[in-house]
Amino acid sequence: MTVGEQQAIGASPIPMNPGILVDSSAWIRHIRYGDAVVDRAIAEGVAIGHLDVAGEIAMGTGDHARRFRDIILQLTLIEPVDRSELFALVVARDMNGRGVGWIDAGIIAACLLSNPPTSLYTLDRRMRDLAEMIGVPVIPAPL
Amino acid sequence: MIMELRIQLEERDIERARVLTGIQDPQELLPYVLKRFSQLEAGAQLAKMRGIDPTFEVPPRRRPDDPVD
Repeated sequence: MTVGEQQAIGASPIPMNPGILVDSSAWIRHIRYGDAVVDRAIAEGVAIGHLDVAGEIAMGTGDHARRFRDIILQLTLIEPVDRSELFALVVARDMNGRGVGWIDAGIIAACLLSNPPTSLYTLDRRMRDLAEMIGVPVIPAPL
Repeated sequence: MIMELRIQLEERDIERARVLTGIQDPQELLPYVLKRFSQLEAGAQLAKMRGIDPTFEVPPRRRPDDPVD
C-alpha cells in the first residue's frame, strides 16, 4: 500500500456534502404543490432528514401519505440532539419566547451541532428567525 | 447493528466507486456508497411525488390560534 492510499483511508477524502435539513413545512408544500428549494436540494442530493420531521410526516394523512412517510425515512438522517443537551442549549441561548416549540427547537439544534453545519429550510418564519439568531445557516423561503 | 456478508462484486464497479469517492478501502467504501445511494434514491423518489397529493395534511404543531406564515 502506498503512502497516498494510506492517507485516503485515514482521512475520509469525501466529506459529506453540507446538507440542507428540509423541515416538515417544506415537505408538505412539496407533496401538495411543489417547492423550488426542495426540488434543488433533492436534485443535488443534499436533502437531509430528521427523525422528528419524518415523525411529523408519519402523522399525516392523504392519498400518498404512507409512501411519503416510508421514503422520507430513507433520507440520510441528521444526528439528533440528546434532550438534556437540548434543554441546556435552550437555556444557554435563550431559545424560549420566540414562538418555537420543543420539537422545532430540537430540529434547529441538530442543524447547529452537526459537523459540517447543516442549513435549515423551513417555511415557518419563527423557526427561521430563531435558527438565524443562534447561528444556523438558513435558506430563505421563496415569496 | 453490524451485519457480516460475504458477497461477490464486479471489480470494475468497485473501481468506479473508488474513482468517484476517492475511498480505497472496501470496508469504508461500501458503507459510504450504500448511504449515498439511499440519499440519492430517496431524493429521486421524493422528486416524483412533487405536487401529487394536495390532500396531504398533518396535525398542527402548535396551538391552533398560532399563525404560521
